[in-house]
Amino acid sequence: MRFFHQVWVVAAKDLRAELRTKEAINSSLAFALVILLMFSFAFDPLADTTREMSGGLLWIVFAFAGTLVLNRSFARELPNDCLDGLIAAPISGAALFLGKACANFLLVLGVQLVSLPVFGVFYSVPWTRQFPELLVVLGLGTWGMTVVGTVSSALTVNIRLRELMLPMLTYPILFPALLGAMELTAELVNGNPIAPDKLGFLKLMIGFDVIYTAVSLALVETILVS
Amino acid sequence: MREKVLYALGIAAILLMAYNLRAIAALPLDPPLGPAAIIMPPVAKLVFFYYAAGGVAIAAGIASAIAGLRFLRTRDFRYDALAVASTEVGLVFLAIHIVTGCLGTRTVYGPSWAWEPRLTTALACGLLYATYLMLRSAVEEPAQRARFAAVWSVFIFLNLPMLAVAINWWRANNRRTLFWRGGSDYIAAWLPSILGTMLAMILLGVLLTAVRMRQEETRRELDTLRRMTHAL
Amino acid sequence: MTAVTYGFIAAWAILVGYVLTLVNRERYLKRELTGVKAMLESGQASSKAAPAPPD
Repeated sequence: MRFFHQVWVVAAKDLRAELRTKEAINSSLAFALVILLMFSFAFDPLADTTREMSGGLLWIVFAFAGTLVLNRSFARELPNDCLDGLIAAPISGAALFLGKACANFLLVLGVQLVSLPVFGVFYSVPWTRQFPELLVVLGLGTWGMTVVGTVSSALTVNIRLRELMLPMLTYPILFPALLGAMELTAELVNGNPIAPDKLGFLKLMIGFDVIYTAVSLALVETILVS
Repeated sequence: MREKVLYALGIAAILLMAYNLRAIAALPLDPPLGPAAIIMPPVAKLVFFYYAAGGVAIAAGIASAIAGLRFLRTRDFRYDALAVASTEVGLVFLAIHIVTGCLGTRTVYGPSWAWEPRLTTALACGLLYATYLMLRSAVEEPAQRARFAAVWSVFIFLNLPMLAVAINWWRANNRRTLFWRGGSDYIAAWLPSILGTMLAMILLGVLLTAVRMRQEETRRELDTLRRMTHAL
Repeated sequence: MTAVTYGFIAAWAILVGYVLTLVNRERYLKRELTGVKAMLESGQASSKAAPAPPD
């Protein structure tokens, strides 16, 4: 239980720090809305074909906006040597990682839930019809993105081109999860239940989350401790 | 001693390749290629390079992952050198795989890139290994670079099966696979040549990996000497 | 026949290109190595001439 208490402490600290200034969520939310608008310029938002693929567009928006939040995750600890302090603290690297991942998950999910109604209005899709399933897919996809993004944030915290390296590292690893999320969301956002032949994608996303959470918890200690 | 082994390896690879090329050129195309083949000869002969290069790329990926894991276990820098060498060589053979695949796609289906599942997976894997090399070049301190690279190679390796499955289920891909329909309904007469070309390419890959590993050792020696110079 | 020829040429070109980058890197590394070794020799010689600095 000590482990989960440590996770809770780290997550609460990160959330408190972020909600005090709200700089990451505000810029992430603004970025999401800007990209949504740009996609409306690129594809005719009221055409039927656009409505069919809008689920995919939504995940591109989420991926780009999520990167802004994930970048701040370990970068926030750089001034005043906070990162060294955290690593030297008597909590395991896995607890530190999981706490940050949980905080990031909640922040990114918050941004997504705020941009979802805007998306629904822009593209006039009936996204509330399958809302519980949509929430499940959002949660699964966001957790995968958060886990991989937090590991990438830990890897790139001291690298000179951090802002550039984080997206380049995270997105290719996320290909399977993003593919599954886009396929499922494209159906759900248009009010259709998930077709039986797409259930494989759901299993894929769950497997992706489980595998990458396990591997990250095992290996993050190696990354953080020098 | 090592030089002699490398030279012998190189000569063996060249000889094997020459033998295989002669055998491939001499293969008769007149008998029908079997019910599963959907291609028209003579572009069929490209398939040897396509499959061989793909096989070597897969072997290189496995070698890279194993080397990363061994490095994490033992912290021996020779495994780190093996990891980077096998990743680079794997990328080279993956590039050959994709290029020959594109030429095949152009002949069989029309467009150069027909979103065929195997080629798309190959491209995604290539991008993954490119991020590995980018991560390596961005971290300056050697021990940290080796640790980060080893962790990342584990991440990449776990991604590969999920990537293959996801792209195979993706609705937009062209479900027809290149060169043979469905699975592997190879023509018995061509199998020895396919395996022979793969063997020759594996020898070539091993040779290139060994050369690259030696360069990595030279670079480490350079770093040590540089550090000594700055200490003076 | 042309697609096959292009394929062969492309495959060998990629391989040859990689071998060339290896050769270039080898040459660069050798040059650096001799330079650093020379600096080391001259550095050791000059530090032997000067008195050892206090720790």
